[in-house]
Amino acid sequence: MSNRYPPPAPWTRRGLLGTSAAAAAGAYGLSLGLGEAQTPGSFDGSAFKLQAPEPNPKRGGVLRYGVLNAPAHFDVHQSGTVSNMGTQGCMYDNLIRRNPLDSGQTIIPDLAHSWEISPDGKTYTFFLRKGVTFHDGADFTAEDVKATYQRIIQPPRGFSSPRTPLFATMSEINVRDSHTIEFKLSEPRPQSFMLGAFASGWNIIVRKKTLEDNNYSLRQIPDYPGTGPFRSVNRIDKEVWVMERNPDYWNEGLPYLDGIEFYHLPPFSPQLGAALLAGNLDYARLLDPVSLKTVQDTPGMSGADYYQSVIQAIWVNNEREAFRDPRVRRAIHLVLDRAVLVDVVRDVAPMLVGGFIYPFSDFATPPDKLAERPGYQSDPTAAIREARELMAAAGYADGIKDVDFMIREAAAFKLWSVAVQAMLREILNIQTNLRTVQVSVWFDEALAGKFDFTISAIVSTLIDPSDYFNAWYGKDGPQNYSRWFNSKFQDLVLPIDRELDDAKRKDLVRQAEAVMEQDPPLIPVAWEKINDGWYDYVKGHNPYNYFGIYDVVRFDTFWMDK
Amino acid sequence: MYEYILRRLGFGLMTMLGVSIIVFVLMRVLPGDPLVAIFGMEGFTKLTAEDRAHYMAELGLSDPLVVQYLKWMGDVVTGELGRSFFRDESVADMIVRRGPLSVEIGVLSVVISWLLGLPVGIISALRPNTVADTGARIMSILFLAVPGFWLGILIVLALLFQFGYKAPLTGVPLWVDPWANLQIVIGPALVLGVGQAAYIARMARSSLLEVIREDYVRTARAKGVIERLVVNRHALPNALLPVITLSGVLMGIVLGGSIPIEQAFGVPGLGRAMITAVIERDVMVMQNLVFLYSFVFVLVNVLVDVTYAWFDPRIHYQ
Amino acid sequence: MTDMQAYSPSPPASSVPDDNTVLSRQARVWRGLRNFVRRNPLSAFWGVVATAILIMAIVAPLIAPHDPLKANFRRMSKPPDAQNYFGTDQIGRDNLSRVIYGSRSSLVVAIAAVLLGTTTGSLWGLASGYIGGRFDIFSQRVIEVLQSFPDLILAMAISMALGTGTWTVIVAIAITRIPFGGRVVRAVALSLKEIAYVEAARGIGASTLRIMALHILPQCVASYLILATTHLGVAIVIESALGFLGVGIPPPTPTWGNLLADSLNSGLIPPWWLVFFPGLAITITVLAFNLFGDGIRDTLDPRLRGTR
Repeated sequence: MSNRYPPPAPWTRRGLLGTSAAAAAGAYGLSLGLGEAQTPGSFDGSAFKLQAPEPNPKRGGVLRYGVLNAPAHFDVHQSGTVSNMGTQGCMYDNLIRRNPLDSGQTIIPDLAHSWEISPDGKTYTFFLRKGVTFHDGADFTAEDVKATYQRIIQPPRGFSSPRTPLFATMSEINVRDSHTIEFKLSEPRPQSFMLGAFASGWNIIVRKKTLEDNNYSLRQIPDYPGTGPFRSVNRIDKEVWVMERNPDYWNEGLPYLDGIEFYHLPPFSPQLGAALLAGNLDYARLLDPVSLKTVQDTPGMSGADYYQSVIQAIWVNNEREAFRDPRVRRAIHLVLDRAVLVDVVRDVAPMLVGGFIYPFSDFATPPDKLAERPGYQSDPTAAIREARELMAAAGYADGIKDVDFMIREAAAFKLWSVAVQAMLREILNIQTNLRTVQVSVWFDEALAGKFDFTISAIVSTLIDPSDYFNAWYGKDGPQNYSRWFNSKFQDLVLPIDRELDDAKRKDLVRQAEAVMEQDPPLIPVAWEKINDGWYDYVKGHNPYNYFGIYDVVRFDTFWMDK
Repeated sequence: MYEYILRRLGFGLMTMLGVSIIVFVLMRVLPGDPLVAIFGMEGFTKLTAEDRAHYMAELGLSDPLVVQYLKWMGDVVTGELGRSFFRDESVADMIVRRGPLSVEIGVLSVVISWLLGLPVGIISALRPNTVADTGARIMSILFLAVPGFWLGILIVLALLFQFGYKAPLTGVPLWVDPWANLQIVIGPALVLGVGQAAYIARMARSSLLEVIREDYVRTARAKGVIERLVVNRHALPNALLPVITLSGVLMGIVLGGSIPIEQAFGVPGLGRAMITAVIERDVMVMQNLVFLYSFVFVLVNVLVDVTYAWFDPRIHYQ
Repeated sequence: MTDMQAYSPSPPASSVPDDNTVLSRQARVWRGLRNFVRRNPLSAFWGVVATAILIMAIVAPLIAPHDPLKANFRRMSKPPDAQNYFGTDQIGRDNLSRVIYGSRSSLVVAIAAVLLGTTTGSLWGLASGYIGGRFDIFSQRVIEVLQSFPDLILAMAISMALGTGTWTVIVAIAITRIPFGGRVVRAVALSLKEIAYVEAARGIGASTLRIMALHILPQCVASYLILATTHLGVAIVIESALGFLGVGIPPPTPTWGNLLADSLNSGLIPPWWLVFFPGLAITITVLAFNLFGDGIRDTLDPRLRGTR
């Protein structure tokens, strides 16, 4: 395994900033987003130029990359899946972006070379690059940025984006001149949160004219023009997407690769691992853990095991009488042995134990503290006792019968559901009936609330609680599938959004966490991780400390030492 | 003779009409709202009733059923098979692109089944109750019972972990890279072929046994014609007729069986497209693929019947 | 999925009245069995195997060493050893018990589907063959249409359209079995129509229904039995393929198809014991029913003796 990169730090991400920023050529890095790091009010990056971290990157070669690529549609702004981002990301640029050289820990310029934030924190002004062209030859201007963000912030009919709530306080977007744009907020939000929102990989800049020509729907168009380092050549559905280098890319010298072939291979599948190990791929994303281990044991190959912006959780339908009682939900929460649940799927998907907050973020209760809390302890005796008492107090000492547990066809869900069924039956005498359904049926039933329990993944854009507290747990939050509401929690959400002082904010987050421990909005099963594997000749990338697989997917600094 | 062929074609057409109705009805009673599948839960909840109506109309799902059916039939006739609900792919393009692999697998498997099944059947029939016969029978009985896709999985696993072998990642047409193409199709074709060979061998054996007892074969023998000639000239041609018919009937195994086998081998053919469509509930793709597979099945059997008529004097001289 | 030649009806020799009246019913059965074993030792052996598998399915709770649904988090993904003879799956469920219980669901589905499908088809064929005329022509067309679908594809489409579940799988497989029953039994009915005693019954004014039930039906039993045994094997394979494709009986019910499908969801290298044993179970069961069916055919229909 290559020692070029620092090993991933298990729990704190900030500790790494020093080392990885130094590794970044030019060190324009701007520490952001993951906690109390304060950002300057303005940033001048007019001389910024990105290049590979290694001294003499080679030009040329076609990267063979394996990743899921069967999206329901091609509209990145409306998507929440790697199926879009994993392939389409390299065709577009953002306003500002996460630094590929330090694993996305810092934010660097992109189509905006510099920016200013007004002292009151309510105006964000971005200065755009001149002379940038879209793949169809058109010039890039501030109007394109405005059209892009307008679409996300004030969705047109039939459009929905998981990123819309991030910009809830955005009141207006003004084009100051052809290459200057300003965003006005109705009230300030922490800078790290706002810049993180702008730097989200999902917010790709598309052409205003493209949007107008297509009636603001990009769902069915696989190759609408971007400004990114690669452009589409040919796409064969469910097989391969061939991209070629954009010779007019604004960042001189980039990209190094002549092209990329994205092979469609399902995540965690034996096919993906086998294709990489057999040498049919140079790089594979979303490997199963067994393949990762093989990769790490193979000379000439390396792998990474990093964090993902996804919680896997059981949704408990709060509209069912028994489960409206927070005591029952806490009892269920207490008896799930999370270490076992992570272990159950160890061959299928990499996972991590955690509670209601990203366990590796600065906002989380540190792991050693968490391990002392009932429900997370290695010795479950106390948790089981409390759980039984709670059930008795709620009037369910004899358990609950005929609980409908709906599961979607997926390896991890099937395994977990059986394990959870066993835990609940044996400890609390809650009898669940497993009901496996096809994906589309699952959507229907989940939407209609026709389930008692179901397991699903929920994604957030940012590691910042303001994002997912609103989306996952907030009243009427777009991903509040349990239909949970707790007034104490709800009263904490807005103060957390508004609080600019990090220490105070953290304290508020802790209070909210305490509420959720007693009245769980969902039952955390595990937090997802991602495994990548590649041959050592693939250079110019650093996935070790990614948060998710949606922000750093440009491939502009990739090169092959072959 | 021509009248017979025409009549057979007519029946085939009528059958396809019935098939199309069944397929259409099945695909319309599928549970699950296609818009939920297409837009996802969050997207779906944000659609107004008006939006939903608009998108259903765009997908062609809001017309009266009869109109939808007639439109589809029109599409089938013109070869413009509509578009997938996802990624806007043309179904006709997909069939043209993925079809050749599946066809190759099917044809190759039939060839393999004859190359394997016939000799085994003939040896069994000519030397009944010998070791060779017993061995051949046991093999053929065994292959009747082994599920093809399971055999496929075992082969893939063995190849993968004994030899680190992995078939190419994408479909390669025969005329572009025959070697890569062969690597993709040979496994599935072999598994499918072995399964059919078992039937072919049994049928060849029984049919040859019957023919050998016929008077004209006895006569030939009595006349002193050498044994090889008796078999080759007199017995085999007649014994082969039912085997040809069987091969047509076995097309059902080839077409149906190829789906899980393509899945087991990871072949980017039509069978896997069908599985994806099943998972995604892509009605347009499923509807057309199920119809296509049945169409091929019927067509092959019409052709077999016509061939049969051609060779069978009783019909030929009618 | 099976050979589809129409079996000619057995010559009415075995049904000549007064043949066996001297023997008690029990004795006749025993004599029949003895003859069967003497003539087809191989088939008899596989008949015993088939019976054993059936018994295994019925008494699964008694012989399965563990609860097939009980997870054991201390023994996950263990290869076969003294504790779990067939190993354990990813959540520590006993693979042997799952295979044994799998025989239950797989056989229940197969038997129910064959009973339902072959019976419906046979009765239909009987009626269409005997009544004839327009009804027959119409029936023939419908059966032809049903037969135009490759079995698995029809079963897949039906099972999807009805929403997956045990009953839908049974119905889906049953529908694919209808045409075979229809064809074969129709041929028998057709040939019996003109036979003297049937004509005699018609002559004395017996109703169509009465003739079909009393005179034709008994003659079709042999063909029906032959069909049913062969199709059991086919039904088992279809069930497992549906399970493998994810449109079979929903988990956690262990069926052999589900076990196979699940075994592949286990990372890069599926544990061999999870892949191997369910497939082996399918193979042995199908083999047993096929060969037993062959024996039944040879006994009931001596004309076809040794031809298959």
